[in-house]
Amino acid sequence: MAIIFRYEHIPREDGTLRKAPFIPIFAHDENNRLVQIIALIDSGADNIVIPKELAEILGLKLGEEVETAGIGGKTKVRKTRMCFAVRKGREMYQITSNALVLMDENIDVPLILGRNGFFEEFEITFRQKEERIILKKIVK
Amino acid sequence: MEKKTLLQNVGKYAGEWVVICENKIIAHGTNLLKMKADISSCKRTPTIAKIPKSDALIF
Repeated sequence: MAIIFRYEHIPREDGTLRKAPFIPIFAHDENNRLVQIIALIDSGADNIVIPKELAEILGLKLGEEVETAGIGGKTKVRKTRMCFAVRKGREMYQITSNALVLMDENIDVPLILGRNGFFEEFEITFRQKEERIILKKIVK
Repeated sequence: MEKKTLLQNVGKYAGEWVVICENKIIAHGTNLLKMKADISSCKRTPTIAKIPKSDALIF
C-alpha cells in the first residue's frame, strides 16, 4: 500500500504559487500532545533537519554539537532523535530516526525530511506534473 | 479549479511560523516559542508550519 499526498501550494508574497512536496507528519510535543507539522521532503538533504524552536516545542533532547554544510555555507547543529508518524487514512507508519537540530534561528527553513532517516524508510516517487508524492513503506 | 491545500492562505506570513487549528490560523510570528499557549489552546490536533520566505532552500 502507498500513501499519496498532493503538493502543498504556498502563496508567495507576489501572489504566485510555489508548489512543493510538503507533507504533514505527526509528533508529540513536550507535553505529550499530538501536533501536526508541515515538513518538506528534500532529496538533496542528507538528514532530517529540525529548526531549533520546533525542537524545543517537541521537547527533543539535544546531543553533540557538530558543524554541517549546505549550499548556504556551514552552520552548527545538534544531534537528536525524533519520533514521528506519517499517516493518511488508515495507513500510518511510525518512524524513529536520528536528526539534526539547526541552532541558527535566522536560517529560514521548515522541518526537512532528508535521505538519512526518511528516504531509507520509504520508496518515494515525485510526480511533479501531477503534483503528487507517493510514499511506499519499505519492508525491512 | 485549484483544490484547497492546508497552506493555501499563508502567503502573507512568509518567513513566519503559523499555528493552524481547525483550518484557521490562530497564531503567527517569527518566534514559535511565544505560541506555546496557542498550540495548547487548540481543542483538535494543531498544525505547525514554517512558511519559507524565499524559493531557495539551503540544505
